Amino acid sequence: MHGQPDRIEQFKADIAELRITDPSTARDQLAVRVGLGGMALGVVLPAIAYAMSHGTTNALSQRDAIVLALAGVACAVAGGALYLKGALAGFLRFWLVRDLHERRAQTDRIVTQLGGGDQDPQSELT
Amino acid sequence: MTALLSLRGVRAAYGPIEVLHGVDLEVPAGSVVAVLGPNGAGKTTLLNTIAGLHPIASGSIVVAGRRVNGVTADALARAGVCLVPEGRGIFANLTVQEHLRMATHSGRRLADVEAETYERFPRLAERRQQVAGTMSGGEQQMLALARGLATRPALLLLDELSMGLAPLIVEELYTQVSAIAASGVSIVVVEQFAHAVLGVADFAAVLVQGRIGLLGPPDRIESQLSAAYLGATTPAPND
Repeated sequence: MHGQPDRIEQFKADIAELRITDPSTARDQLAVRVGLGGMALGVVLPAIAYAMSHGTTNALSQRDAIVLALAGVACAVAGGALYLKGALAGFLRFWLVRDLHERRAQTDRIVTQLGGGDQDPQSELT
Repeated sequence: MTALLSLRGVRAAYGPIEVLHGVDLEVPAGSVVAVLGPNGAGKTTLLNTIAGLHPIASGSIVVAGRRVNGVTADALARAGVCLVPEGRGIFANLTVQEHLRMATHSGRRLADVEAETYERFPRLAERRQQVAGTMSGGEQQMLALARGLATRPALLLLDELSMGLAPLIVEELYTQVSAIAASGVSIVVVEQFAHAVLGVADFAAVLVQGRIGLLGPPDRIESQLSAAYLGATTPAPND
C-alpha cells in the first residue's frame, strides 16, 4: 500500500509534535471549582467590609471597606460566570454526542426503509 | 516489537457513571488486536477514548511512545489515528467519489486515492457515481473502510465491522482487514460476534464490564469466550 516503516516513523514524528493539553473535562472541573470559590468570596468579602466600616468612624477606612465590598461583588459575578461555563460545557458536550448519535441512527433508519441496507438477521448469529 | 499503542489503567465515564474501570492493553506495530465483549461492556467507549472523541477520566493512552491524554480527535486523526465508527458514519447523500475526495485532506491526490481504493475494493469502482445511501450495507462498510485507509492511517480503529451484514460480506471485509494489517498498519478491531474476527487477529482481549477479562491468542480466547461473556472469568489484565 505505502512504505509502512516510513509511515510509522512519520507517525511517531507527528505524534511527538502534537501539542498535548489537559483533558477538557479537567479544565471544566477547574472552572467549576474556581467559580464556586469566587462565589464564596463574593459572600465573605462584603461581610468583612461591613465589619470594617461599622467598626470605625475613619472615612478612609470606610472607603477601603467599600472597595473591598465591590471586589467581593466582582468575584461573585466572575465566579458565577466560570461556574456556569464549566457546568454547561459538560452538559453540552454530552448533548452534542447524543444529538450526533440520534441523527446517525435516523439516517440509518431512512436508508434501511429505502432498501439500501444489507440487513441479514442471521449474521448476528455468527 | 514495540507497542504502537499502550493503554494503562484507562478509565472513562459518562457523567457520574464509569464505563471503563482501568483497561490495560498493548498493540504492537503491524498487528491486529481484537477486542471482544458483550453488549454494554464498553468496547465502543474504549475506541472513542483512544481516538480522542471521549475524555479519559484517569490512566494513560500512549501512542508511539508519547502520552496523548487530552489531545483532540482532529489532531490525532491528522497524525494517523483513524476510527471507522460503528454504523459506518458515511454520508448517505454523497457519492463514493465525493467521500474519497473528502479523505484527500491529508494532502494525497484524488487520483491516487481512487486508484488504491478501486484496486482494493473493485465493487466501489462500479459504484463511484452512486450516492452512498442507496448502496448495500456491505458496500457502505467497504466505503467507510476505504475512506479511512485513504488518510494513510498508522493506527486503524474498527468498530463493529460486521454489524448488520451477511456472513459472506463479513468474511470478505475481514480478508481485506488482514491484507491491510499485512501492509504494516496496526489495527484494533472491536466486535461483539467473535467468530469473524478471531481468524485474522494476532491476539484478542475480552472486555467484560469495563475491564479486560481475558487476554491471549485467538484460539485460546475462542474456547473460553462463552464463560468470559457470562462473567465466569475473573479479570486478569496482564495474563
